[in-house]
Amino acid sequence: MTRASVGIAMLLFAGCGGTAPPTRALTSASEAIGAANQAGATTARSAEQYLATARRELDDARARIDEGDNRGAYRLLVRAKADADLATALARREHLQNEAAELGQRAEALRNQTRF
Amino acid sequence: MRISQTLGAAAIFLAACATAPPRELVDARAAYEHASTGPATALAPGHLAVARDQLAQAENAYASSPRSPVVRDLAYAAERQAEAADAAAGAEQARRDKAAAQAQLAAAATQNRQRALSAEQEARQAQQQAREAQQRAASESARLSAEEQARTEAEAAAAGERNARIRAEQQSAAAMRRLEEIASVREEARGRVITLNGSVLFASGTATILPSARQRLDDVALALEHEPRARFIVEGHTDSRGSDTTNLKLSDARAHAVREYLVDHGVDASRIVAVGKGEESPIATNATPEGRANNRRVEIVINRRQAER
Repeated sequence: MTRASVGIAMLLFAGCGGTAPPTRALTSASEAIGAANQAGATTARSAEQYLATARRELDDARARIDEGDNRGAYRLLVRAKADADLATALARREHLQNEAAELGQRAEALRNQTRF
Repeated sequence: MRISQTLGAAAIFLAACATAPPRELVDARAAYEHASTGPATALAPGHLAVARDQLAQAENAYASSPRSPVVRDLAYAAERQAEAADAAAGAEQARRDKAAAQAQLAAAATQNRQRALSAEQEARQAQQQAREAQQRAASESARLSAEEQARTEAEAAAAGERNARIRAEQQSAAAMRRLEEIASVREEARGRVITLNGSVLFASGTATILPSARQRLDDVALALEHEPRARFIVEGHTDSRGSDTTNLKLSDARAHAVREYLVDHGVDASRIVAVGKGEESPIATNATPEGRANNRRVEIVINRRQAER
């Protein structure tokens, strides 16, 4: 089980009443967004929308925390992390595919050169 | 009543749950179905396992609390995780493709380098062969030129020799013709005999060659020069007047005088001898002045047969 899903499961049994600010979830979501940036999500067409969504969700979560809606913030942070993780995976795939395609083209070009 | 209402409400909830799961859960199920029947099974099993667990949590949450917003959040995360498993599989495939392409690139670069080296080597060999061929061609050309030159020179020499022979023959013939104008020339068994009149050559009774006779003797010398292998005998003859002894001495002296003259004018001394015959070989009668004049003579015999021995 991931940390996020454990957190969610706890919420199921929390019942009414206040919850602490979701500090861990905030860190987790922020780190996930940072990882997506590092993976090149901002320059990967398949990933950039998910990264943008993750950032929005993070910003919204922060606003909810400020308003005292920790539960609402937590739910947003879970989504933010999921979107950021997906953005990372998509960015990696896209960049690797581009690199593989470029290398494949260079190899083909070189093979054509050697043929003649 | 309240309990039954609660149960009824629960039944309605359950019924609603069974027929209308939240859109997020539906999407999550579809996403997992897609991921689990694709390359993620082989290439990203770890990610797929996480996606499976997350979907299971979403399903559990839905089963226990269908309307809870937590279900939608869990399903949302599960859907994203399934898509991430797909993407991870794609990334792994791309990593493998990249590695294969790198290997191909390295192989093609190596092949390229080897072919370039081979081509360079072939070019150097071709250059070397061309140089050698040029050298051979130059040598051959030089050899042919030398042969051609030698042939040309040989032909020129042969032509020169032929021409010289022709000239010599012509000169010899010319000399002989001139000789025939001033002397009697006839062929006998002993050889070609040139007969010069004694009174033309010598003053009477002497063996001193007259100045006027020198031109004739020069012509004789020239004619003899054109008989390079023959031997010559100069014979002096007299008529019958006077004693045998005197005539012998005179004829001998005259023969030697002519021989000396001829040797001085180019005839090979080793091939010419002189002998006095006196009056022993007349060619005409001694009874008449005319006959006696004819008998007073010098004969030069050109003996070719001697030379051949």
